[in-house]
Amino acid sequence: MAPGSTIPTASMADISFLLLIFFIVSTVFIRYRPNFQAYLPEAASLELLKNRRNIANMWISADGLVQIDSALVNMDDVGALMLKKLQRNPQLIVLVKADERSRYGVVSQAIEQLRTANALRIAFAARTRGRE
Amino acid sequence: MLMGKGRQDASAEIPTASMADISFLLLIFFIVNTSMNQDKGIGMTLPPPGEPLPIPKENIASVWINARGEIALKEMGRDPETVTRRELRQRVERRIVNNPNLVVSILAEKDADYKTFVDVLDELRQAGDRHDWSKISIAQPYGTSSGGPGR
Repeated sequence: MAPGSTIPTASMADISFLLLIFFIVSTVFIRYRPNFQAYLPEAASLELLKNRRNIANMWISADGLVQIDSALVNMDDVGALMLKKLQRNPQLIVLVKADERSRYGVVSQAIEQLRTANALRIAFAARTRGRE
Repeated sequence: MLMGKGRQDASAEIPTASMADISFLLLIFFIVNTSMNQDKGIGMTLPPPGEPLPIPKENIASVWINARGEIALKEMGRDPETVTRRELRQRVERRIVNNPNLVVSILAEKDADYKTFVDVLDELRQAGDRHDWSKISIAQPYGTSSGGPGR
């Protein structure tokens, strides 16, 4: 390199703005932290849930606690809460993040609640199964 | 007043040297806030609330799941048989070929593991790649803590 030569930095701002726009667009700020960690079951036939803005998370713990958006809720209130969410966003998909050790009866109750609230698009969250 | 005017005319440029720094700062903020891992799941559409539609008996295959994690397949006119997950997939696959309108009904015990339920759901979805899997039905759970099949 010749002495005194410099790297052109004039387009640096453009480049970083481009990246900036990409990250602004792909950031969703609503992040929920569950009060418990659900250990998801494994499955092989998984779909990617594309639009994260349409997803409502519902956690179910191994001992039957239900949580929607960082708040523990009663099983009987699940339907009413989802109805409210559904009115705000009719394309809502409820992602059921149930622990693999949870009882099926609890999950079924939750599903029944969703059904009464007309939240019919659901998905059972799972991890990708490793190669067998 | 006059002095101010004169100064403005001399250099009316916005300094852009720090623009890159500002945007990099914002960039870092957004990179940190973005999580790239997407949610994955087994998508389903529930039937609307109300009375379920009657389904002709010959189109139904029932899968029972009990609290011990055993899976049983009951086909029309036969007794329920305990099957492994692999057998379940193979038999449902065969049934789908014969009857594309097959509806698989999952009946799980209240105390059954959710894991087993998802396993069964997963096998069924893999059984028919081209099958329309709006045709999985999730029945009400049966039994109490110690109940057997049938209600």
